[in-house]
Amino acid sequence: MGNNEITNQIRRLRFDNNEMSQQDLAQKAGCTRQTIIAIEQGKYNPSLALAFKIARAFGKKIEEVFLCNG
Amino acid sequence: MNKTQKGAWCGVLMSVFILLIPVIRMNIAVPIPSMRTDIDSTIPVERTNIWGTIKTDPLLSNLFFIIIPVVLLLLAFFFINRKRNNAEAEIDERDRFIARRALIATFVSICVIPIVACAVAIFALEPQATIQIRIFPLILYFTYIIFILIFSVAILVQYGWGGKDGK
Repeated sequence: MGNNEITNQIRRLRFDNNEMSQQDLAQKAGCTRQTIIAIEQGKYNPSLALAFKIARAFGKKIEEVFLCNG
Repeated sequence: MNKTQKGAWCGVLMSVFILLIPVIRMNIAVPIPSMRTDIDSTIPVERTNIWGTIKTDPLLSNLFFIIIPVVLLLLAFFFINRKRNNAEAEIDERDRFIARRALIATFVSICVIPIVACAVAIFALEPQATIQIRIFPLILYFTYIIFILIFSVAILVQYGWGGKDGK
């Protein structure tokens, strides 16, 4: 399910945003906490729509949250 | 554990329960001479199987095969679909993705069951033997139950059985 070529900065950004919990981020992005955990661990690559929602939750651009190493 | 995982656990428990009923009932109904010492094994025992039990005890069969699974399913769906005040989404794209992959895997593996059923019939009986027509809906019924079992297990495997809760 995961693709190691895509990494993300979600964990760091959560702590930069007043130590936002995974639950809070999940509510803002409209997904489950388990999905946030899976994305953070690189086990699941979100769809473009969810990636945008997560980036929007941090007030960042999508490329600032998700990085493609390929 | 999210809604999909709870549903999958319900599916596993329900299907295992339903699949075990014939085995339990068959062992209760049929004395096995080779395994029982309290009966005279020289007396020919009528070869009874699950189909024979169904024939002799239709009320219990209906109860076990239809009512109890339906009640279990309704109870499971009632508990899983309870309204919560939590603002967090209960199902998202990852859950749908997992369910879709489980469905594909289940459809691929379920194709084997009718083939196995036919092979068992041929080897257990003989190629020229005939079987009663009422066995076919039962094969379909058990295929459906096995479908639920494989689908549920495929979901749980993808979630890691839910023990880690995604951590």
